[in-house]
Amino acid sequence: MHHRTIKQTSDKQNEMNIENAKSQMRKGMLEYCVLLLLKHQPFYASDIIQRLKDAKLLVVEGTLYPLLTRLKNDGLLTYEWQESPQGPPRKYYIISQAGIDFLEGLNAVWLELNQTVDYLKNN
Amino acid sequence: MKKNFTVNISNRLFQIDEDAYNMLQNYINAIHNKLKYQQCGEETANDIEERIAEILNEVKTPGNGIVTIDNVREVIRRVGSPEQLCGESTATSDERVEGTFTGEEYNTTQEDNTHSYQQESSDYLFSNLKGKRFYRNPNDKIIAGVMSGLARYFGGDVTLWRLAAVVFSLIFIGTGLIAYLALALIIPEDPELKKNPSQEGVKSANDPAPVVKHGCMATFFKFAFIIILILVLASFISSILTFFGFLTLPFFSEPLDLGDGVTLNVYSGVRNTIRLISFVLLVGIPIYMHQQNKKARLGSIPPMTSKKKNILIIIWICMLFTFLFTPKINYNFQRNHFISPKITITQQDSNNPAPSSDNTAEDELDKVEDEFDKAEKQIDEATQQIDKAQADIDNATIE
Repeated sequence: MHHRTIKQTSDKQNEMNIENAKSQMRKGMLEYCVLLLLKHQPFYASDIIQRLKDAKLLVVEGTLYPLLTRLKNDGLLTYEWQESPQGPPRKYYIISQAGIDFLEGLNAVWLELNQTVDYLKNN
Repeated sequence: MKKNFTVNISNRLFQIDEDAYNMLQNYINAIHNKLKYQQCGEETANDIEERIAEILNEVKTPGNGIVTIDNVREVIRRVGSPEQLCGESTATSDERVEGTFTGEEYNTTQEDNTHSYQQESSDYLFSNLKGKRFYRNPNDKIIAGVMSGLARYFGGDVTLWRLAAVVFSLIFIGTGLIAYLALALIIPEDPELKKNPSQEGVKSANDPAPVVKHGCMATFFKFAFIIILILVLASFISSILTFFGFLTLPFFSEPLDLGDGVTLNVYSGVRNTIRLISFVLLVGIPIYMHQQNKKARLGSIPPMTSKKKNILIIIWICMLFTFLFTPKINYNFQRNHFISPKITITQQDSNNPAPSSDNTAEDELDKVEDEFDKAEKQIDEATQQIDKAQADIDNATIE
């Protein structure tokens, strides 16, 4: 009964597409950024979440955990249990040597992508 | 007044009220179910539970605070839906606005049992009733998504509708299947859902204008409705007709000797089995619910969700109808039991015309009555003779 105009519908569609692209990019970046963080120092999961939120990279907290599990299975990071005063022990994530090497590779990829984008923008 | 539970989430204890408990339980189960097929999925799910515990600690009232349903909503908002966790959702529900996923579908307890559990999206529901959204739902289908479409149109839980459809079909001699087929062929699939499968839970937030097929839609719906109506009426009428064939003893499929030469012969093993099952459930369901109630009052198990209750009640009602409407045993007892030729009483099938079998029984009855009369006469004669003889003796004695 009350339809939006065609223009409004396509604007909405546009918005959605951009958000889609953003989300895809973010998903790709997440792995890179987690490793970057862990390169500095080991972290608890909750701290990783906090930092990523501050960086506006993470929106849905739950997505971090499958990622961490996957990285652990690939041997890029490891964890140890740390006793904590406020309750049960928590996992303390530490980057592995393999992870550091992998990160080097990712850094190179990032550089490359950057250059490509600059190139495409300017030419 | 609400019940309170003490729960253990990732080795931390919380006091939680019953609404919050149900919602959280459903949510955590959903996460475990989603992740269990992944490598180390169990471990990931446990990590997430730990995060849930951390968040609950943050958001509940400090100290001895009880976790409320709003706290649980906050948790779900932050942690995300199971689909989002696995990266299966598109951006619009994932990133666009944090916490677009409300998780309200996990909130299955009601204060008010008359509402469907999609209470929060009731606005969405009422806008449906303008006839805009009676489509099949291809994203939630077992066969063709008919029931799920019905559920979206009328409200209520899809599972409930599916169960009702199956039971309806069973009782009303399979007419439900015909109706389902008709609906499946007639009702089109929802065009929006084909584009964005993940939008199911968040439609209320970002709803493009619905595609309304004016003339076609209305006609299809009316057509389907009329077919269903005819089928229901037909099966209902036939049930009533057979019901008035009287009912007594239900459960045998072999001739039963009732004594004095009367036997009972029932030829419908299958129908009797159905009746037996319906009887068992008729008695068993109230007993089961009573037991569950008792246990819940003692606190050993949480109370039954109203979804479950509704399902059980509906099943019970169907069993009631089945029990009342299935048997058809005709018999006529002869009155005088000590003159008893052997009578075999057969079950009257609704297909057989009633008068003929009645005639046979009545003929037999007449025969029996005749013999009875004859015998009575004989007895009378004999009695007369005895009286006469007695009189003679008296006379003789007197003289």
